[in-house]
Amino acid sequence: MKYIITFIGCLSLSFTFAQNINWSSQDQKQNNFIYLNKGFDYGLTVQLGYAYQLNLFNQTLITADISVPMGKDFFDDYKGRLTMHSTIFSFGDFTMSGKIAGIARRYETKLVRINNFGAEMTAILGYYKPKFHIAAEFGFDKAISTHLKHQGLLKENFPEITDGWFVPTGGNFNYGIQASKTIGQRFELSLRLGTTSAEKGGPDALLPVYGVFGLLFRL
Amino acid sequence: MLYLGLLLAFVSCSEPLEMESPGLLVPLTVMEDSSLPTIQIGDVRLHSEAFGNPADPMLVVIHGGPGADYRGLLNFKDLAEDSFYLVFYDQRGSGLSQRLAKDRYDEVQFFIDELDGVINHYRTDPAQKILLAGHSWGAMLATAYVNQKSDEITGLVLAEPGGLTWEQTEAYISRSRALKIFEETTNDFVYLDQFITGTDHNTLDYKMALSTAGDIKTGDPTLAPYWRFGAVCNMASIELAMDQPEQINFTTNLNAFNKKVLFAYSELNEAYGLEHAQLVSEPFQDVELVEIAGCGHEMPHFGWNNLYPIVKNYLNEIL
Repeated sequence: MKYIITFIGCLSLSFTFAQNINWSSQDQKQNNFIYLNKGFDYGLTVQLGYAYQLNLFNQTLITADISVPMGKDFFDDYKGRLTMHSTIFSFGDFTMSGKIAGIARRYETKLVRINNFGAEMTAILGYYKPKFHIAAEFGFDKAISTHLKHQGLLKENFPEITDGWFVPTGGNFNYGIQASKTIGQRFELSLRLGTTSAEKGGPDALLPVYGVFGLLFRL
Repeated sequence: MLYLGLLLAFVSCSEPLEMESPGLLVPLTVMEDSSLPTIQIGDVRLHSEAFGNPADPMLVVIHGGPGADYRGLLNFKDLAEDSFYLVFYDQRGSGLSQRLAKDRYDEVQFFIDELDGVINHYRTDPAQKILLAGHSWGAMLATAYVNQKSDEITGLVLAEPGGLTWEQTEAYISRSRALKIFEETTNDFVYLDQFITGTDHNTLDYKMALSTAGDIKTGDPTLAPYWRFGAVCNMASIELAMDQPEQINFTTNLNAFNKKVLFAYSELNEAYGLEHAQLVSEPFQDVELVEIAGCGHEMPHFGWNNLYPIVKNYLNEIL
């Protein structure tokens, strides 16, 4: 099933993180968006999401999305996010925005089943024109509360291993760039590239990079 | 708010724990559990045991990794019944031995000196014959020791050393751990990084154990039993090898070692095979290459019934 989703993603060139939104190309009549991302984000993942634009004093998007990594076991691993993304201030064509997301994610292997609640905060400063944007981003993803349920060889080798809730269990910074190109009235292609580093100077991720292509469609 | 409410509700259901707390996710080491068998080598406390008559020829069993432990090699204890004095130890920062800072692994010589210390700790007589049996990295370390102290060692049993140079080792690792980008194993390996990060040994050792969940590519049904991985030891050693590959060359003086070597490779580990075994064993003057049938890389555990008689015959032959 994951392969099918990946294939669909490939056909459409890929889709995006809603955070890649080009604020300058927003139409107040287009309040609903769907987006699809594909790329590397702690694994080769595909992400499907929905965004709704609130007409507040600042431009604000509420988004919900879910991503799954590749592999034969569908939904043994996933990440779901509920995000609020809002502009903070603008100066000419430059806009500063911020987002805060609540994350629920799961990871399962033959050794452990992990359920985690986390949070992500990101600041984005970019140059926005109606047909494109380019921006720098800086974020922090905290794995706040994590439930561990052990099984298999891990349990056999260490029967006293403790199952339960652990807080907190990790955190990673991310630094990168993002860009988008608006196509026609409804489509926006985007790209995010960057690197990650573990908090407190701990060992970084095995592949401490991310790169995600995306497509956003205005309904 | 809904999210925060859910989060609080889940966490409040039970007492939250900390991954750093000793004994929750990985076993205690000799530093926290005084009931574990321990020896002191220099300023490092090692988890170690010996079996058999201390006056018999000593066979020191050396585990792989770096960062694994000797639990999967305990079948070698059978040789205590064959009049050998069996010595096992977890290397620094590995298994249940003391954890050390990263800079305590920046020379291979530390491991060689430590092995020398273990031998001297258990040796009961200067004339006692010393034999080494190493598995994987342990076989590399055994060879490194022989490369420096060829006169000290009477016999050498090597079970699939990755290589005796970094070039050989790197080639073997790349074959045995080849990851395909769409595989479940690959993503299991990297997806974990967003859930767990840390700087303490308890967390890092636990995370290393979780990272072994992927499919085994070395012909074994699963991992051999282990107590506790040593993540810092493993990471620092890999970094050392990549930054200073010249330190991983244990062949420079092997021509001084003229005793027969038993070199075992497994039938089912496709990443190894006869060709790699011939390449790696080439520097030895007198070597017996043996394929161990019906098992993979973890032959001391899963292939012991086939390995044991071969090792026993070899040891009896050279003494």
